[in-house]
Amino acid sequence: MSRTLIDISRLGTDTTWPSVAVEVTGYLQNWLTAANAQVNQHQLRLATAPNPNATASDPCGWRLEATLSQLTPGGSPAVLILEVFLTGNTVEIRPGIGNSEPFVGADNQQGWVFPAADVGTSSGTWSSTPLPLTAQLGWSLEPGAEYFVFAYSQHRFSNRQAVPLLIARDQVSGNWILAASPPSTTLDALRAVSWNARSGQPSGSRTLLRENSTAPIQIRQPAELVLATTDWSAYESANEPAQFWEPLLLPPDFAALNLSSAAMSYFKPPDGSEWLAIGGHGLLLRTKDAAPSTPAAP
Amino acid sequence: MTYQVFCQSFSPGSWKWTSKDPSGVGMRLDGAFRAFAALVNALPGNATTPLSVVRSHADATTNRWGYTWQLGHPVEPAHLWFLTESTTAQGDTQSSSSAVFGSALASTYTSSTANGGYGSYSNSTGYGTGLAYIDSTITGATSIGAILLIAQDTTPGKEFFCWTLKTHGGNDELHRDSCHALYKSPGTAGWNSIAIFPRTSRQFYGQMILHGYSGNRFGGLPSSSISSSLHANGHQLRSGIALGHVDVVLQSQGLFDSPPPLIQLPTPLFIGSTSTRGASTHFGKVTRPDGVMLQLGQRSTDRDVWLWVSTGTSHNQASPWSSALGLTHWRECNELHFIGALPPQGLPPWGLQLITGTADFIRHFPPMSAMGARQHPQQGPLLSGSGGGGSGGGGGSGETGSGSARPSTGLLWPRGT
Repeated sequence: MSRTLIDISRLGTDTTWPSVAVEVTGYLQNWLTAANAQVNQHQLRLATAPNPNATASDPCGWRLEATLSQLTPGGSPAVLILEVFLTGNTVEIRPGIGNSEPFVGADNQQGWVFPAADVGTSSGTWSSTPLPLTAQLGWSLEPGAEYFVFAYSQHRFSNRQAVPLLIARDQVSGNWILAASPPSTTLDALRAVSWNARSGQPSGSRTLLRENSTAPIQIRQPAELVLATTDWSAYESANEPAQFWEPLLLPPDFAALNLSSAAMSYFKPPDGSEWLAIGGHGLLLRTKDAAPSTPAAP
Repeated sequence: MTYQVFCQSFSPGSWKWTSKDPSGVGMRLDGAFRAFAALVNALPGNATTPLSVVRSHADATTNRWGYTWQLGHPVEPAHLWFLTESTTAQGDTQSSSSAVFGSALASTYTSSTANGGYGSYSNSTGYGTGLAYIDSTITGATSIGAILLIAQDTTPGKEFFCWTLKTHGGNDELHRDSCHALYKSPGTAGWNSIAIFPRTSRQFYGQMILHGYSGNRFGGLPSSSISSSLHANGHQLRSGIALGHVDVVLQSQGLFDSPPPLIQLPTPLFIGSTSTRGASTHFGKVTRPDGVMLQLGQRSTDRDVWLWVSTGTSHNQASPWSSALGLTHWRECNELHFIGALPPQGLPPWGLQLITGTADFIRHFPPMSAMGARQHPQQGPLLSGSGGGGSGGGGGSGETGSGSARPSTGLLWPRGT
């Protein structure tokens, strides 16, 4: 069994963000090493690990980088970036694409740009009062469907439920997707960055593809990320050529649900599969495969 | 030659939708559809789902003009029709029509000369729509020409027939280039349909109308997945999006034995939003090294639709059918994002499944309830005597509470012990 799901829940009185983040990082580093040995499109790197001694006001979290085989116009490997840092009570997610490796500075030609104007930062709130923390770590080294995910819930409302780390293989391009969903009720608060082979440029997303919450409850597989692209027509003089993209798909252990506020819920659809809801933005993690499929209806 | 794109031009001053002329647009469309139906009906996979023509322009008796097609099915054949009903102003001038795009089960049909020759239904659904520039013999429309464009694929499993009526000349705001396609999707055997009627500044209605089969059931499909799949204001067009066949209420035929599969829209069609600027409102083209994207629809506050024509696509139709790429009307466009379909390997066993479309058939165990906690793969085993619940997919005995080893005193529940 190459898939793992472990529980790192703890009592609220025992929970500080640095202690949780350090525990997660231990598992993350083991998985990163194995994933890098198995996947060679991108080289994953934990550029900044959580500071175990962070005070309440110090930034504490992860800076992940995935170095691409594609080169920038400057001749350096392009690099996907995901930063997830807690500062005070704010969990901030910053996705990006760096034009150099190592990263040398922000928002300039040599530095770091967002994949599209519409994929910016996203943030939510960490509650520092001693709420119980239910948290899961899941990972897989299934070839082609590798992922690592960290999710937690501080209480039953989705403004305290998050998936702070999601690293998964795009099922179309095989490139890594670096993603995170903050503890926030904002519908499109998720952030993801990857590399789109078809358009030859980074691609990003702010939301999972799922039906409106007024539709009947449904579990949708594959889990797809809606691409956030720039509406060039808003700029009279941009004259950008039309661009062609492939969709971004998470591995088959993920599905999308048209409910929020569902973290820690458990779903058993009639096909025999079982799913654990993680975060506040409709992501489901498969804990049991479907029964062998029956022939399709006519 | 399985995927083909071809067209026929009708000159300004002489074309008429409201005509039975064998060389007119209505009968040409009928001929193209019959030829397609003959090809796909001969495929073994379509033995129980043959396409047929119920009515065409040739059957029109009074003021209705259009077609009724039957989607064959072993249990529940269905009809779809597109009929112009009058030349009242649906756009903005007398050159426009009011029209209806409708659907019904074939079993509700009475084949008669009622309704302008098109017969009647005891139970049907219709959407009010219209064609702009219904013909060029009407005063005010004599400078308008028309193009009937057909895209079809007869590859088994990927069957697709799409017709578009594109008009040109005159007032650009009044054009209304509409499109209707039938297609097959992985996961279901029946035919599915998409019709797109754009809405420009001068038109009252714009629609994207979706129909399809899940198992034996024919019905409308929600279009919300298409909206959900497009980033707001992204100026995106999307291909191959999967639609969920959802039931808001229990259906009279009872429960689904298995979750309904998703229905995947045909991959050559790119559907989305292009409501702002462009080099042309309705003859857009994007040239790529591996093919050309042609605009079938129109810049619209409803949906626009484009067609992918890969390099090497040709046709084997006799004159006067010709290559759509040979038309001089197309204008190169930019500032659009085209997002492709799921790749071919994205099919079952792992892809394209709506695990269930009906709330009643998902068992949802919220963690705040004892029952839900007992089912939970991690919390369940922590409860004393959790029995079969939890542990990543145990038997589900937690639903009934069996296996509970509750203390016998000091409890609110169970009572009386």
